Amino acid sequence: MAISYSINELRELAERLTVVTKLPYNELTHSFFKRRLAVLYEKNAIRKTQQFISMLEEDQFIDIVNDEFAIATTELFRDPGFWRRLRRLIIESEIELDQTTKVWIPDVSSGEELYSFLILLEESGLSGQPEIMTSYISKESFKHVQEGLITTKKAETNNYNYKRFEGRDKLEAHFVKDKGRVFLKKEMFRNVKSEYGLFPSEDIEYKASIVIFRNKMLYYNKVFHERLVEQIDRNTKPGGIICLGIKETLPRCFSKRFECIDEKESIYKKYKFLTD
Amino acid sequence: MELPFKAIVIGGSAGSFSVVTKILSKLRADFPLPIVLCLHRLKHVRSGLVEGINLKSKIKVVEPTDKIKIRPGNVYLAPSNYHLFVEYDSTFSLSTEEPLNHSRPAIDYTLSSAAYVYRNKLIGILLTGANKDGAKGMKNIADKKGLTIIQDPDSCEVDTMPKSALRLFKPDKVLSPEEIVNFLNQLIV
Repeated sequence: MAISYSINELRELAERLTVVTKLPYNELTHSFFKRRLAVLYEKNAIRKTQQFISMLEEDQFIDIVNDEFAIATTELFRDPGFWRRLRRLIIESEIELDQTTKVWIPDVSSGEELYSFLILLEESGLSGQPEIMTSYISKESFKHVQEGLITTKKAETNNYNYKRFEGRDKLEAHFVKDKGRVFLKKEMFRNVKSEYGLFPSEDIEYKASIVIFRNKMLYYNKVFHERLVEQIDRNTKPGGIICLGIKETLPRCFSKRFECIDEKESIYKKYKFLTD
Repeated sequence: MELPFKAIVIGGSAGSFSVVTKILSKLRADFPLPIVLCLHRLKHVRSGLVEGINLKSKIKVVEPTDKIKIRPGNVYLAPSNYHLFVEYDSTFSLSTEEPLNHSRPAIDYTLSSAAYVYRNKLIGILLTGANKDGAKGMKNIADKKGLTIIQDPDSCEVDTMPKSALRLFKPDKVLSPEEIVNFLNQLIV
């Protein structure tokens, strides 16, 4: 039976999770937090809030919680039009990528955005050149993505998206099969660095040329969007681009720092003249 | 004029495009309530549906971006490949969470979230469709004392969706598309 909780109870739980995980659970939208919590309770046969609070004392359970809140990207080359546009920006040197540049993909969950980008680089002859920084909030996701594991359930969708992306090869050419499971080729992960947490610590600035942060702000409240974009801004170099989900927009207060270069695909470019 | 309702939410699947365009083409252009549409649609086709509905609708239909404010007199269509939720601060939230009832957008999600926010100030309408999505959402609206309307199965292209809802609870009204239009227009007379 579903547990019902008051708004105050949900707020208290979100605050507690924020303290325990050091992740901004208290900034998630109300509906999302409530929904994921219900799924978590059901999967783990939790009947009472007090039971949930007790379980938070185990590190292993905390990662189960984080994993439940890390939402899958859903498919490879989701929004093929976006990936075509990104490839064009790279090929036409609108964005320069070489050994000295960085790409940042925060909050990797199921890995499809990272895999899509690695395939794009490989097919553009740039594999292994830019340093790719990734971060994870779930240790389970981290483990799967490090292996390059991909679910075969979405093979049809992935192939269809790749076709619309107008990829160079067959999608399967980028993957290997092992004991019934499918993995992205190991060599494509060279130059990919990973760390735990949503964002790097305050003393690090990536100054990335490309930031891929698509469909990640959806789950946070509007006020917190500004803080998220502040972090992204700090880690993006002047002239670099940030890629949001096609239904996400940059908060208006950043309009003096970024110009929208593709409204349909939600791509923003940081003004080159900014010196930070 | 103080209206007894704050919003209308409409769910539909197979066959619902023509019903929705019929409703929106016959509603008064100054219809004051926000209307939220959650229709099953092809996930890889981003454009076309909203443009198609706009050809007939007297009220402008838009696909909401994340966190935009819900405003009276607007029609909002759930974007393809995203779930659409109503939040307590009268904004929309989108999500790429797993499909529900094989659907993203899922009607149950949109209807249920609206039920929690608008409670007895919500009108929920479920149209023709080929699966059970929407039935639980409509029941949630009924449980929160919102007004529930189900398209008369005899007038449906595919009656699975309305019949699934009718098995779950007794709605306030079972109406044909013409009767739905008449009911909505008389709200603001």
